Amino acid sequence: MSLSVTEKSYLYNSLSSSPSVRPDGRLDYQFRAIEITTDFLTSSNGSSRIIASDGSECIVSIKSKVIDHTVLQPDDSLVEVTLDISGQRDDSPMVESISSLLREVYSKTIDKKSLTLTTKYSFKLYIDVLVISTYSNPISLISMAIFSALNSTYLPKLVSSFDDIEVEELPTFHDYDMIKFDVNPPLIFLVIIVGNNVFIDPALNESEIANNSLIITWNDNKISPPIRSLALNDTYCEGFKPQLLQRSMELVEKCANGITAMLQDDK
Amino acid sequence: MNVQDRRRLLGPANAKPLTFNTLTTSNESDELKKTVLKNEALEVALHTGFVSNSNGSSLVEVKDVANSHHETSLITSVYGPRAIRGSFTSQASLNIQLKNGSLEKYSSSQLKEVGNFLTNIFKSVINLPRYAKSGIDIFIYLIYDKEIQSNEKSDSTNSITSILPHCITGITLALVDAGIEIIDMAAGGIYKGNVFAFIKSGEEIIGFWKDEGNREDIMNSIDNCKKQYDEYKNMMLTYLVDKENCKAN
Amino acid sequence: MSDVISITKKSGSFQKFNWSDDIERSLNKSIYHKNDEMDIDSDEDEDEKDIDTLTSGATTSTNNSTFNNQQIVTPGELVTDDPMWMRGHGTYYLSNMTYSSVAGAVSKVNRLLSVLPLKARYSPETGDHIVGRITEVGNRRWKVDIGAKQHAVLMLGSVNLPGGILRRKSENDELQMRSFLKEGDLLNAEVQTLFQDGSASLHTRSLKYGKLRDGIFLRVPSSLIVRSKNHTHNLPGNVTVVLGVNGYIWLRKTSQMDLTNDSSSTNLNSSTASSTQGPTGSINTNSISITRLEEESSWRIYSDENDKNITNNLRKTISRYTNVIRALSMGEIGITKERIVTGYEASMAFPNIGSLIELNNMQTICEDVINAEKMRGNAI
Repeated sequence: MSLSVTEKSYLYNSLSSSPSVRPDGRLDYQFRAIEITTDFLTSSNGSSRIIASDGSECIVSIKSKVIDHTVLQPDDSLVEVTLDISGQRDDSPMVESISSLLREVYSKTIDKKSLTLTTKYSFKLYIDVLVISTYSNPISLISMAIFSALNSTYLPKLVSSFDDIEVEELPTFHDYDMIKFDVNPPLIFLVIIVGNNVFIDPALNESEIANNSLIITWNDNKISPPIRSLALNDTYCEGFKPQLLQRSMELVEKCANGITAMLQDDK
Repeated sequence: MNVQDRRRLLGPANAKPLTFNTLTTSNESDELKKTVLKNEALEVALHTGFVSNSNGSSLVEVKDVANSHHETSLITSVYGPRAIRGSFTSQASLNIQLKNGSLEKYSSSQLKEVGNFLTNIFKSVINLPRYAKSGIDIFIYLIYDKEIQSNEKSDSTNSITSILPHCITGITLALVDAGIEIIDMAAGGIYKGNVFAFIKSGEEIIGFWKDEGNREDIMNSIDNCKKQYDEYKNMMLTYLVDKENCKAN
Repeated sequence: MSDVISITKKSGSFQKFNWSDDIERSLNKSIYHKNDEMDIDSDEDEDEKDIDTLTSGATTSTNNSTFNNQQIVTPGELVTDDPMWMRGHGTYYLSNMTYSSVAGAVSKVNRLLSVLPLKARYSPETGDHIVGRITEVGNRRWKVDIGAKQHAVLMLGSVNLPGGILRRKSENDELQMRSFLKEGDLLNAEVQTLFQDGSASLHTRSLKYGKLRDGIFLRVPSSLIVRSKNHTHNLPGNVTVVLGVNGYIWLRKTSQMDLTNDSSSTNLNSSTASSTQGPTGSINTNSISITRLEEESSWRIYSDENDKNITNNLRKTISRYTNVIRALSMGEIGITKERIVTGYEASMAFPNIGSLIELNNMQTICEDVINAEKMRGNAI
């Protein structure tokens, strides 16, 4: 969707003024409301469906498979992420960039130990992400969906012995009991820079006039790599002052714990 | 040579093998290829305007022991601004693609991501509104890329990060060679896995990429990257001025 | 609830319905705005008695009384087996039986039986005041997205051309169409005619139509906007809203022109009420409008410049109105000037405009609007 020149200049002036006014009146660190449904896919180990107030929607399914981790290459990961965004080709720059970033984030942050079953076998997690509809960059929404899905993931309980180096046996599992997958997944935030101001979770019209934006990963209660700058539009792209990078990170630090707590909270 | 091969359709029996004239290397281009800097830590060679079917091209060869620990050589070619099909656009659409050279080192999705990142950077460098209804395509060909084994522990595992500054240098030079309007000379630096791209004498960041390290490094590495930005920018400027002088003589 | 984000959580299969809650709410929702249209219909054409509604025998819902004897049907449902009815939109006919092809309310006007869908794309009608966005600049015409099934057409001949009072279009104008209106531009216009295929042809040959400036855009389902005489309203707080019949809404700073439009209409009313004002007043307003015509039809009507001094407070007010309209749309309450103003007043209970995006607060506003109407006695 393209906005008119007058709309863009109104939005730009509102967001870059001091104090700033967002088009929907949000505070600079405030997110749009979301709705999350977890555990709705009975055939997967964990699942979530997330709907943002602008109608963006994303489904995540997590499945596991037992593999022999001794034959893995050092680069091979125990987590595989696939991404599908409806209406976008799989080789479009947006899909490729986001899936490459997701792979980078989740293969590094999910602890291999938490997936290890025995000395020989491990679980391999398949995270399948389907973005049903999206209006602005969906990266933040996807990370929240994966977060909720991983937090509602239950893996089969191992009943055979942990040490199977000497005895050649395949791991066997309990018929009913599942163990909650204990993990503290990362979150990815999108911060836009407009003039001298920074805002979290931009709506579509805000993205259209952003001078620049940053993808910031939050893992283990702190900002961690990967961090990227990203241009969300073609017309308002500009450089930004180094202080704004600092301010963006402070903004994420300000709200990240609140988001994590809200997402983990089982109510 | 004239052995009969029944499996193929051959020419007449008295056909002679095809021979080419020996290539006469043009002295001109050799002169223009400049080793602009050479010291123990950093060695850079720049060259522009040698891909004749493109509108602008550049070769960047860098051996960087101090920061990126990489020996890299890449060719950038710029095609455009050229007419695009489809509906009206009020400004040029930019597209940057990376290609592996002889060694298939990086996965295609990694290259796409880097290409996309570079596109994002150059959206704020190229004066796109000057070129309505057109497209600018930039291709980067990674000829050679090798990690330099250093004594210190190498802090780069994902080496695609370390070629980013060189890609930026290459694109900037190729854009200048193509005569496409840019707002400022863009260049970047790398320090502890943080890549910063700057314009306007380092006052404005146009791109930031970080794949490893921690949060504390970020602000500290800005100054270091700025130093590299100045270095690369000066190299490009000296090279371009020298080239103009060469032409004038 | 944290002020960073509001999250609604559910668990388990989402196909499961909570009948008592969800269905009832959605049914209630649909009633609020459907009745509005009914009201308007009855206002417009006097033959109210002809609007006949079927007695709802089939529906077994508990709150039948709230249906106002309106029948809600679903696709494929038998509406009537009486062959006397003419079949209108939203119905089909199989061996003398009339079935519904959409989900909505049955409407019967004289012998015409049609089903008005609860939610559907906007279908343009001549005279509609709409807001649209240019999608394409073509040969002597613009294509305009108005949220209907086809793009509308705005002919070069149906816009006010810059440079003096009404004049004929020239070849020069054809060449610089993009300098009047280009892709992405928003405008308000009136539906002039409908083509055979149901697509609309627009015109902006009035000073109240044209390029939109000084504000923000939002869209709501078109079923929530009630067709009325006036679609441009000046709201308290120096804000003007253009409620396009197609559900596209523009909120802007009240301009000088909005004020004169408003005052001239009130003047008219007051002059009929009190004839003591004398003729001088009316001459005065006339002369203003003539100079304005010349002024406004210059290049300025196509300017891309916003008003230079839109204060921060005004921007906040516009954001607040945006959120109020979104809340009304969430509650599926028909959007009228009165309800926006009531909602705006109710929203003052929340000093932080950003908190209005939360579901609970939206519901509070909707309830306040409905209660206020009940108090005033024009409840629905």
